[in-house]
Amino acid sequence: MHIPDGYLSPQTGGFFYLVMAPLWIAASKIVKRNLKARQVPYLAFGASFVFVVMMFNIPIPGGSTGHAVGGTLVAILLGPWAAMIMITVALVVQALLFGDGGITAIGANCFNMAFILPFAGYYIYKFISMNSAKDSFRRALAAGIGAYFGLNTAALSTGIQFGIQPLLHHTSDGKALYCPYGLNIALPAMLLEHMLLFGWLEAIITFLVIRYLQKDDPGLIL
Amino acid sequence: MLSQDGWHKKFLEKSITNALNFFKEAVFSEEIARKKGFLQLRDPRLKMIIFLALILTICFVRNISHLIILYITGIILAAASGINILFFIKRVWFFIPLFTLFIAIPAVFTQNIQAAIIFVLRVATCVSFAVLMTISTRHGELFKSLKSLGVPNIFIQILDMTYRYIFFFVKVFEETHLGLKSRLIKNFEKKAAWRWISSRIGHLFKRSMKMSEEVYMAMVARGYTGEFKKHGG
Repeated sequence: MHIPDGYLSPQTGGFFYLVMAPLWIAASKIVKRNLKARQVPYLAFGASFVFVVMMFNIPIPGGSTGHAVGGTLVAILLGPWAAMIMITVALVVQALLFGDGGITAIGANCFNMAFILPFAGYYIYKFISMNSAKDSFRRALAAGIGAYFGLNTAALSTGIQFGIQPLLHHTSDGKALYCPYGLNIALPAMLLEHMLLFGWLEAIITFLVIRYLQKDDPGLIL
Repeated sequence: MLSQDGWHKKFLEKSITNALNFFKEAVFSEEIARKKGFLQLRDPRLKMIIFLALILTICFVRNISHLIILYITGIILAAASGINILFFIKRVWFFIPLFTLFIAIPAVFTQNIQAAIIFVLRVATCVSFAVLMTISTRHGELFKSLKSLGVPNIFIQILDMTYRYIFFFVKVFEETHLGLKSRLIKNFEKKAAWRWISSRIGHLFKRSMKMSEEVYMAMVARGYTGEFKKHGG
């Protein structure tokens, strides 16, 4: 869910830029320490990969198609900090060049999809997979479960951002200035479709990609 | 693996259309950015700062007539920059997801029409200026201008490289889908489609990591040490 401009108040947008700033700095320090001069091509190719993963149309029950985000997948394969930078770059390219997601909402979108999603997904994966073998079924399952909860946590965070708008910003007679729905509508609206549909899609695709790589090249899995 | 019912192939068509739209969009934007219109001739850094300030200001505006004036200003600027107005309006409203209407329509009944109009108009005006900024600036200039907003150099290098290699990967993506489509005689079953898509994502991942290493080696061979040097300003 890419939040467009005008949905969140500029204060909320600014707040999430401020929240993301130290995280971006931390991520770039960690990535630089691990990769040194390699970091520019490595992160750029990872970001291109993230961008293209979102282009895959995937059939969903009911005859329509959806798409995966791949945030947990990248975090599992390359680590959550590198994933954070790669997803951020992909989101900035989408917002600046393809109008997907607002410019004032880049901070909020990155918070949900480049921070919450990969970190939640990655640590759930780590917790469930423990010390299982690289090519074990358990590890792939852990990746799927991580992806499911990673995406839903991100949807929850987006729902909260929408839902608090009428509480934070309204005119003196109580009319909402930005997203007009409170938590009672925004949260179920965001969560239901992700818990019932897109979360499963993300889980299945992540599970199957890990399964594929386990057979093909288990050395790639962190 | 194959089934009789018709819709499981739809994802292939949709993905191919996605890829083609991506190229169309990119080429079209670049064409507009190369024109010598009003906005194209402004300094990209100044333009970016002014437009971002404008978008931020629009987010604060609560008055319908002010929003209408700003929206019309956007259209006038588009016309002055050689952008087809119909195309511009269509593009802006295309970006405004249907979601906005879903949000706005119940608001018409429950709250009041004014709040709904302000909400939709504000989103439309914001998107108008965002679209104007991006289609009137070439992508290289756009990325470079981020520097004047304090975005670190290394991030701009990554952005620039990402943008270049996205084209390569979208091409691979398109050919992969086209290849399967041309070999498919019956429709895919959903599970088989999921497995195929996952294997292609996995393969794309391996390929991107391998290429990143190769490109890095090629950069090192040309004297890259981790710093980008500027040549000729």
